[in-house]
Amino acid sequence: MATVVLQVRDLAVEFSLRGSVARAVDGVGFDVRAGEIVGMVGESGSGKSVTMLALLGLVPRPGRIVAGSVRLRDIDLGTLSLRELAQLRGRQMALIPSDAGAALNPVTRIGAQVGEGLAAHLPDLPRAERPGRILDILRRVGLPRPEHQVRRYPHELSGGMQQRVAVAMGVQLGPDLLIADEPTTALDVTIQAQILRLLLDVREQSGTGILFVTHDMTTVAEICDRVLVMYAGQIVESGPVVEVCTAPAHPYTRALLDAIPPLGGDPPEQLTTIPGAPPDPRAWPAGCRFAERCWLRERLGNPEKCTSLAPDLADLESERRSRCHFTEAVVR
Amino acid sequence: MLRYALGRILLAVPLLFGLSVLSFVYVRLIPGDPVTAMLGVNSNPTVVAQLREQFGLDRPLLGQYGDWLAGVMRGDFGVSFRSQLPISTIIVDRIPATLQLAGAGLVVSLLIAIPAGVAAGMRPGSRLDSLITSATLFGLAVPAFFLGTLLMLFFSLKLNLVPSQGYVPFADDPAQSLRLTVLPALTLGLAISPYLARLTRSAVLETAQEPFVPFARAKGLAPRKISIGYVLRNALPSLVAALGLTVASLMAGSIVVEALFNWPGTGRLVTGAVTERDYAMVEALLLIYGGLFIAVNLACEIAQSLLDPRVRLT
Ligand SMILES: Nc1ncnc2c1ncn2[C@@H]1O[C@H](COP(=O)(O)OP(=O)(O)O)[C@@H](O)[C@H]1O
Ligand SMILES: [Mg+2]
Repeated sequence: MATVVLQVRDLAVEFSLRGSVARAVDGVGFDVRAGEIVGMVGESGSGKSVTMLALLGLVPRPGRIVAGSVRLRDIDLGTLSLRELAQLRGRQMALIPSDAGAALNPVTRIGAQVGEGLAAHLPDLPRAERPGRILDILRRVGLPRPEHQVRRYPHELSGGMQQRVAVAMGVQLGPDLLIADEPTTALDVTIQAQILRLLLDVREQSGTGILFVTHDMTTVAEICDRVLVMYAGQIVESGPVVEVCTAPAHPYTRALLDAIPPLGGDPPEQLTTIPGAPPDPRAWPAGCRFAERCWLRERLGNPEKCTSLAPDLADLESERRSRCHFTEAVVR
Repeated sequence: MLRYALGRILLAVPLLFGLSVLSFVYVRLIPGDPVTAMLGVNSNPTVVAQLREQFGLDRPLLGQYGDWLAGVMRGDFGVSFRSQLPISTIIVDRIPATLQLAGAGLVVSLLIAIPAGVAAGMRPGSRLDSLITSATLFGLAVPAFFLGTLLMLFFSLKLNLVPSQGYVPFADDPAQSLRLTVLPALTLGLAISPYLARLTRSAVLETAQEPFVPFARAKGLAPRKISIGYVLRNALPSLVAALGLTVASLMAGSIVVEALFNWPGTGRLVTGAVTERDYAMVEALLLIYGGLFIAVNLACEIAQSLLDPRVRLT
């Protein structure tokens, strides 16, 4: 089995705002192995982006990591200084943003912008070699006519090309881990497919581990090897994609899958088809966080356990886990 | 680019025309007759009529305006009611003093306001931010003449570090000229810094929230590179626009500061012309100050577009 590049244990992130504390990420743990694409899926607000930022050590104020550990290969990120952490970012772990059009510096030409990463992380690389490296990486991500594009500004590129540039910046230093936070949501369907293809190529060529965040179950099924289902700051189910998608073990996953429109329809902008809304992160309910919206609980005659006792993320068969008191009833 | 700039300049023409009408009409709306004001209420009616004729005040308004505008186009603002000297000569004589004070005041305010605004905007809600924000609020509340008086009392009368009042042309005695500039420039600079600091803070704050800033961190760039190359660089167009607006405070401030420090610039002309009801002079100054404001903002707008590659320069 491939080496583990990312190991996350019991990660918790809190936002304190005017007296109230929102635990946006609550005890999240998972691994990503080299060459593996791990999907993280869940409704918006479930804590996916905050988890990604926590991995990078970039949780915005007033948020902070209150518990847990993150290991990148054999480095415990919690023991690093801010400077050392900054040196890892963009080099050993890189972020691919959801909207490259907004994430690229609008006043800097593409070439110079790609070169910033080289200058920051490879200070010994002779200046004269930079242009060649920049063109190489832009060619690798399939940017048409790179020698022409390097002279342009981000707004002069199409959304698909901007996203390719962002991927190029992410992969140019051969990171162990690529964090892609909804990298295709801002794009139209054909371009989405091209970017997904590109990520598969990157994995193929360099064996990078990819953590792929999305709210779209269809995308998960298309490119991921394993999937983590997030709900209300916690992982509620995890396992190999095929098994999770064909035989979900948590009522929430089941509901997500049922919310996929029939084949040929447009992918949903947001999963609004599950009735109700997630609970308030400032006051998580005592029992299961999904209980209030759970179809299974209703079907089982509203057992008391669901609202009084918080379920653990229990191991099922190999590699599969589910956070439900009545997992067997879902599978059946 | 040239076409863009030309377009902006053409747009300024009707603005300048409106300004000339306003300057002209405004002065005529002031109650009281300038000649009576000059000679006193009990003056000889024959003399009054003679003077009115001499200044053209007895002719129809439209004709007066037409002649005046035609003169202005040639750089001739007429003759001062007071001193009987050509207004353009009087003003040109005063310009070096005013430029020296305004320039020095602007430098002082830039040195104070830009670092303060950047520091506050980069870390909103921090203790430094609260400190700077309170300081700017306080600064906005303190009138320039009060601030200037305090500085004068302290630095020149008490500590005797610099002279308190007066002006020497730079060409005549550079060292003394600079010494005399210190206090008025400090007063003017401190007076306008709060505006500029607030504008800077909000421009920086807004830019710091753009998604490219956290992405730059995710790329592992150094904090200095992010503050300068990302936040400041992207806030620059708004900062230039803010600077254009600050020119109004600079003009207003310099009128007060020149009076306080007995500085013989155009600001003194404004105070003098208004109290003495020197119509022609007031008209000329209104037009020049207004025109300058329009011109500076025009220049800032063009500079702003040059700094932002997203503005299409066709
Ligand atoms: N800047 C912030 N300030 C306060 N709370 C935040 C902030 N960012 C995120 N949160 C909290 O974290 C929760 C999860 O957000 P996020 O990770 O962005 O969700 P997702 O990416 O899954 O859509 C939000 O519901 C909110 O309560
Ligand atoms: Mg998100």
